[in-house]
Amino acid sequence: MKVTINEGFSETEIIINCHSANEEILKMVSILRSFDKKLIGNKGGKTHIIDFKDALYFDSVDKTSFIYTMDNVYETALKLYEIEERLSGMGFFRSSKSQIVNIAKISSLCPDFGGRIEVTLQNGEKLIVSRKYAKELKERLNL
Amino acid sequence: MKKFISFLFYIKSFASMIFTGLILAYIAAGWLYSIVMHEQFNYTIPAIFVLQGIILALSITILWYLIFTDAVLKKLRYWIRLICFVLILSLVLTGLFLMFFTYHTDWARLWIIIAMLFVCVTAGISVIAEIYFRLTGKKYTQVLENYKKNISGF
Repeated sequence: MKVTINEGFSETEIIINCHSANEEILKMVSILRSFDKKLIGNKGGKTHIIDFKDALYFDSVDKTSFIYTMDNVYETALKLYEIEERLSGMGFFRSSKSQIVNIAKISSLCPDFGGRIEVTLQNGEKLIVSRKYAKELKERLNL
Repeated sequence: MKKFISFLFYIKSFASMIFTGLILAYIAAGWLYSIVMHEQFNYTIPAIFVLQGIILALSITILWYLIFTDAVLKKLRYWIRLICFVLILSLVLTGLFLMFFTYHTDWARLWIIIAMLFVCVTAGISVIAEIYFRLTGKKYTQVLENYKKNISGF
């Protein structure tokens, strides 16, 4: 892969010249986009740019990560740990081994048996925070 | 295939654990009974009890898998799962009891009363716990709202 940096421009612009936008390229774009807090999601063969603030939660199923927004579900090339790293300190938390939740999109919390917490999101969807991560959430909220 | 093998391992280990528990409970109960009744405790376990133990261990394991894991019932509150579990388990136990002790009608009646009490007590505890959780949940939600307000960007 050839990398060329041309200096002397007023605005930074990145152009990728490639044969096709394969998974590796999309991942690269995701990483670059994360600098301005945008995420790249794919749906129905189309690529979408998603503001991280619009994400309700991220879920990983069979080694594939998904971005859930109020109305849509997008597939992303990023792994869950990479999403976690990029969004650290931006109001997201791990709710289980396979999920990351946007705190801003939680409408209510309710504890459950076994130290778990049930999270209700703004779209009415309910998620379970496992015992291990419920403890971390409580510490974060000073509960 | 990987999922199926992990399911089989889950069934094997959980059922073995339940079966061991039942055998230990049998020994403990027999030993206590012998002390109370001043009888010699016989450590021999009847074959019928072993058969019942295997059926029961497998029933509990499968029930547990269906009710308490997210394999079938996803995102369901724990108290509903608990009530379903004790209700179905009581029915299974009553069925087993009637199957193996058909002629002991007094015992059967007593067992059904105990099973019903067990279900009612569990349901009562679950409902009380759920009310407590919902009240605590309101407090948690209030703290969450304050947290959101204190973080810039929300």
